[in-house]
Amino acid sequence: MNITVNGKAEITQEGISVSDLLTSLGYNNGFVAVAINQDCVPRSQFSETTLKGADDIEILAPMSGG
Amino acid sequence: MWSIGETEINSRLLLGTARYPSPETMREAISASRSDIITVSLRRESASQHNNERFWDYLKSCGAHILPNTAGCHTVKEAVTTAHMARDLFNTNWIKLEVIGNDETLQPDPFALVEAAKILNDDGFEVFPYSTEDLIVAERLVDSGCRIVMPWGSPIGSGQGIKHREALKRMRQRLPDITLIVDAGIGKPSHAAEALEMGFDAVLLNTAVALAQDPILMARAFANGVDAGRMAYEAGMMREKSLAEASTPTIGTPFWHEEQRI
Repeated sequence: MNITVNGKAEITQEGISVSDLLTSLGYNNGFVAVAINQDCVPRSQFSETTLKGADDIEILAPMSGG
Repeated sequence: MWSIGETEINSRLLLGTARYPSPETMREAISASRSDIITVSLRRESASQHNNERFWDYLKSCGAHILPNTAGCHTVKEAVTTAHMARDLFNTNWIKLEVIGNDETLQPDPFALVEAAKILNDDGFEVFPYSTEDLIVAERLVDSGCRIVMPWGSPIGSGQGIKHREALKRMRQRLPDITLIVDAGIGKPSHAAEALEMGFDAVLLNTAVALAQDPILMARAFANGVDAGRMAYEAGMMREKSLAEASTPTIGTPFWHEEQRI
C-alpha cells in the first residue's frame, strides 16, 4: 500500500505496524516520535498501531532548538 | 532558587541548544551558563541520519530539564500534535509553545497561540507560550490556564534587546503572580540583566551565546548578568532623578573650593 513518510511517498505492506515500519525503514530502536495523519502515536503503542493506505506518517527526532 | 510549577529551579537563564559550532561546545556552554533548563526541538530525521542520537546523548549528559518547543509550527493543529509528540518522547509535560504567524518577522500568531494554549493547558501541559509585548494577549493566555508567559524582547535572533520597555514594565505590573520570561531578542548580558532588573523571572536565549566568538565565555557572562539583574531587583534600585545630586557630603568641604568661588 502507498503511504507518505516525512513527505516522501513509500510503498509498504498492508496493515504494517508502526514499529515494523520503523524497523523496515532502518530506525532500529530509534529514539523517535511518530504521528499518523497529524495525530501523535504514543511510543507504547507503536507495536499495536497499524497503518492504512494513504496514511501520512511523520517521524520526528530530537534536534537542537531555541 | 525559584520554581516553575512544582519544579525547583536554580538558574534564571534558560538556554537554547541550536547554532553552536559543535555539540561539545554546546555542552560546555550549557555548563558554563549554569542553566538548568534547555530547549530542544523535534525535526524530521531520515533513518540514515544518526547525528541526532549523539545530540540527544549530549543533551541528556547535561542533566538539565528539557523544554521541548514547537518551533516552525504555523497552525494550532501542528503545534498541538508536536506538543503531544514531545511529551511522549521526552516524558515531560513542559512545552515551549510557538505558533508562528509570519515567517519574515517570526512573530507569533496570537490568535492561534491562545487557542493552542487552551487545548494544551486543558490536557495537562505546563505551557511556556512565546508571545509578544501585548498585554491583552498575555491576559488571554493566563485566562486559558497558562502560569507562564514569555513575551519577546525583540525579534528572534535579532539581538536587539528589550525594544518595548514600557509595555513589558506594564505587563510585569499587571501580572504580578505569573511567571514572566523574556524570550527572544536578548543579544548581550546587559539585556538579560535589564530584564531581571525589571522584575522578570528569567530570560530565554540562544543565539547570543551560540554565535559568540567564545560561546563558553559568553555563557558565563550571561550567567553573571542574570545574577546581577536579579540581585539588583531584590536589592531595590534607587529612583531616577532629572537633576544632579552630589553624593559626596558637602559639609566640611575643603577651603580651596571656597577660594575658587571668590
